[in-house]
Amino acid sequence: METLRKQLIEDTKKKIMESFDNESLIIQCSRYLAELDTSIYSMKLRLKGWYGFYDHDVVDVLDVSGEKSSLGADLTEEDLIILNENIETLRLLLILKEDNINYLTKLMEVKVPRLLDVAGVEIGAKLISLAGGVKELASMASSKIQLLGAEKALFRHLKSGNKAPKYGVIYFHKSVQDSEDKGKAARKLASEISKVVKVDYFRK
Amino acid sequence: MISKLKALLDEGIDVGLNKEDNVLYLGASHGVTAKIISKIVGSKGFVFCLEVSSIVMRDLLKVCEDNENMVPLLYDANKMEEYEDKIKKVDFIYQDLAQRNQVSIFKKNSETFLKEKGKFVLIIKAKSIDAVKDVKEVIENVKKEMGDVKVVDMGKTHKGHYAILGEK
Repeated sequence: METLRKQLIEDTKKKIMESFDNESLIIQCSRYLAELDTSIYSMKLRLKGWYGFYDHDVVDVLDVSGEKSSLGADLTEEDLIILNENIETLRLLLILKEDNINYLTKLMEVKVPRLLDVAGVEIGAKLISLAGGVKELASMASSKIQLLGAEKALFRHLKSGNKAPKYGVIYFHKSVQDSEDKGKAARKLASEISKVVKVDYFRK
Repeated sequence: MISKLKALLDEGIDVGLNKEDNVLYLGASHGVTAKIISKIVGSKGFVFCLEVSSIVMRDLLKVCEDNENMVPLLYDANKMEEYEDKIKKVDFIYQDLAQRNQVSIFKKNSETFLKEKGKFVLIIKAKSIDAVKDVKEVIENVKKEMGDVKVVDMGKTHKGHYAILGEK
């Protein structure tokens, strides 16, 4: 039993190491980006409310004049120092986000160049992450790709007969955003993605 | 969140797990529950911990290295033929998978690995069998498929989960 145990522990270690490839990096980076986006959004909103005591007219905390508006509260220098520190950190997070996107682009250029081309870096990576891998995405029907990221709405539809969702994460793609008929554009884009990701996966 | 096995034990339910048992754990995850089982079976017992995700396995591997009666198996419970030769017959199977075909996975594994009269706990997440159907209906179907078993609603601690307790 003890030999078997040692053998299996060694096997597992080996398999963990073998399980790593660039795809894992794409998925992790994409999920991290999503977290980063959420954080940036809520920090921005919170800081806007905070800074608003001082300057009622603030629209974007990343673009503030530093001057008090007529109805603004008299904040001390100490109050302003921490506020500015928070705003600067938010700015750094935006740079971090850009760095992550650039890195992700490089990974995808190697692994899925055609998908990157058609879907763009963020949507393309999200699709891989939602599918669980390039292989999984390549074996998906185009209709399923169209709804990746819309699972909640899809199940609501199946359960209660509400309207069926027309798009998942591909909704944010330019071709869908710019289209009059978003459902049709989403269908078209999903079919194109389904085609190119198959090429990306099966070439070699 | 509390371990599902611990929730069952805290309720005073006898799951049929004994000292010195050899156990197969399908879906061992990070190893929290697996460690509880390892403590119960003691140094003369043994726990085979099967887990498919290599990321989760990093944690589980550490737990297995620290506990001499635990072994890790990085395999898919759907592909029994890949690990068939690595596991001995066991007295107990504990399964907690969120898979659509979790019942048939259990049946296949218990047929091969569970000794006659061996006991089992099968945790069912109704939502992953059918996300649309009514939970009660899903559980009724599982009950029909499993035959003579005891069903425990774990809704108090784990929403939408049921424990199926039985003997081969």
